[in-house]
Amino acid sequence: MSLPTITIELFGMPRARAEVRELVVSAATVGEALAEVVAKCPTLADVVNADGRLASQYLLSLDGKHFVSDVSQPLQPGDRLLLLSSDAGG
Amino acid sequence: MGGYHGRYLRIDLNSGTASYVTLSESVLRRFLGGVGLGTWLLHHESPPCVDPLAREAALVFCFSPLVGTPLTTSAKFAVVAKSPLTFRLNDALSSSHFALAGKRSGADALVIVGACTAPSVLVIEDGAIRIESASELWGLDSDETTKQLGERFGQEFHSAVIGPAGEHLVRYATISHANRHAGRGGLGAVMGSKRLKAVLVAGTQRVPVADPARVVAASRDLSQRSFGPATAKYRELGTVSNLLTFNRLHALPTRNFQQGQFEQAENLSGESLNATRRVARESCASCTIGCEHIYSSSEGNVRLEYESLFALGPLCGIGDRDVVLRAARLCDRLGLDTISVGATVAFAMECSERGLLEADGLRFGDGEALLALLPRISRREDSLSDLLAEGTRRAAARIGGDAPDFAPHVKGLELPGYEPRTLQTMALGFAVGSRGADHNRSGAYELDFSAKTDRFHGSPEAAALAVDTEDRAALIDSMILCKFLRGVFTDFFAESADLLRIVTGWDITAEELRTTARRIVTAKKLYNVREGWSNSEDTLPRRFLSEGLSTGVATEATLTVERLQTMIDAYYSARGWNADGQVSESQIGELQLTDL
Repeated sequence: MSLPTITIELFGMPRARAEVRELVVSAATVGEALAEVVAKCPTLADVVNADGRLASQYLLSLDGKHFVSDVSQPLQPGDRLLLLSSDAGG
Repeated sequence: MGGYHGRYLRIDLNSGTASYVTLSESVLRRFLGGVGLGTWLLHHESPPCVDPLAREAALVFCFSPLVGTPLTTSAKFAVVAKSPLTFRLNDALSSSHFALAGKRSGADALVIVGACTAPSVLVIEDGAIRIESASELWGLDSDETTKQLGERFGQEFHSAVIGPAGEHLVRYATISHANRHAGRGGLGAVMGSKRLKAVLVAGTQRVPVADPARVVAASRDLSQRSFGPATAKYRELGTVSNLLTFNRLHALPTRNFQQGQFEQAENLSGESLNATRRVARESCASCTIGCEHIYSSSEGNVRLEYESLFALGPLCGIGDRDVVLRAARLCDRLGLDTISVGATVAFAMECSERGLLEADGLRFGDGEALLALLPRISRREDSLSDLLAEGTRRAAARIGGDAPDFAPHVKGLELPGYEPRTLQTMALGFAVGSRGADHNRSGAYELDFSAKTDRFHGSPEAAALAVDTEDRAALIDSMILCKFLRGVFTDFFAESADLLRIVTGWDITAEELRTTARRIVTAKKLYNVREGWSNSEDTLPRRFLSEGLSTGVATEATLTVERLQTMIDAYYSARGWNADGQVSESQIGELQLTDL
């Protein structure tokens, strides 16, 4: 069975470091998607902690609706994950 | 007691005299410095219900126990006064050498009362003051004023100045120092009402700290951490990178909060600016983060932050990045708060388009009109600019009709760049903020940008978390450190206690600092109560409570009067205040606020 195709939109630091606006990965969960991101863009290695969780300086939003912290969350085909820098201000 | 002089300098411009006033250890420990100590001083030095622009009104410059130490980002000061925009307590922070020189002048705070009879500069050197003429400076912009003061007084003096907006009592005029501003709430107008073009400080009086070796070690550690990932965004991209993110999340206020996305956002984005316009990166004094990103415009280089970018760009429907950069540069020189002036012009654009205001055909997207209006507003040159110099609340009241429903302010202070319908915990933060709609005294947006809340459906459960962000802000603004450091702390209250312990010698704890933070927030509230606050002020403009956003997922986000009130009720409860938002006598006693 093929894995769902997920689009990762990059903003802020992730976009600057990856030098692309989005990535397409195949992943069944948020954690798998993040692992794919790191595999495709080694400059984003710090996105994931050693335990596989999202590093605190980043945020993930599912389709711009909900922020996601649970890396085991399942993904559906066509989902879009937004990878952002945390903190606003200024 | 390390870190303090234990006194403030009270300057009476009526008589041209100054005297030191002792600050007890009890007051300093309860209020620390910065915003906290400034609030205590305003309670005592500003007469109840004073007109903020009257000569009796007090203007407070407040330093902190950390100023003068090698701790990164500690070279900061607070300016506190009753706001001519909100008629409520206003505190604003700025950075750099004015803080260092001001504290070396021999006091923990400068309290200025009275007014000069003619344009003047106030010179403070090692506790001695003199008042000199500013007749040749009056009318100059902030840059030129600072330059001429440097030539006249020498480099050992550092100045806080006003531009034309402060001179003309624009209700959102800033006080500037080294191109940074105590920006919000019209403190520049308070200074202008005292006919003070500049305050200059210099001195040689250093304050010892309790444990110098540990302060040096802690400074090294904090600096090292400030180079890490928690501050990378500020260092590498700056806050302008918020724009595209907010746009994607339908949280970018556009055309006077009529939309949450801007179709020209890519053109204005931080990513685009950094690729095409960035010329330098700079730091405040004593700062190792270096968040100031400098961009080129056709009228010179300019420092730009997200708030200026959103207010002078999408909020006014303007997508031309050179126009936005030029407008930001003009605001810096004229001494205009970019958020308030951008919001006021955007409000006028909507009024003009609706036929409520005769404004020479002013329309959203008209960048040249914005650039032409800014100098006119700063000098109140004509009836339109005079109206807009009053801010959105007063302008809306004069325009009439339904204009007050879409005037974007809380308590008179214009909203910053966070759309409250799609960031509903922030909506609560705006509604209850002591200085009005404010993203620096409440960090409630951090909850909206997290999995802890549903940002489209604000809930009372978020109120306690919003309280915590206010308390953290109150503490960091009183110690004072830069908020951009907040991500480097793993236990903010405990680590803050460590820093204050080695500077002051007090046996201070994290728990004590949690109480201190609550005390400072409540002291601000008590000041507002004294000046006439009632809970009817804790709300949002009708637009946010009756109109939805019309695109994408944002259509799910509706904020009603009832939902906001539920959150406000929960906030009052979390603060331990009465159901009507008043502070009980028992809490005043518990928080040791009986001397206010």
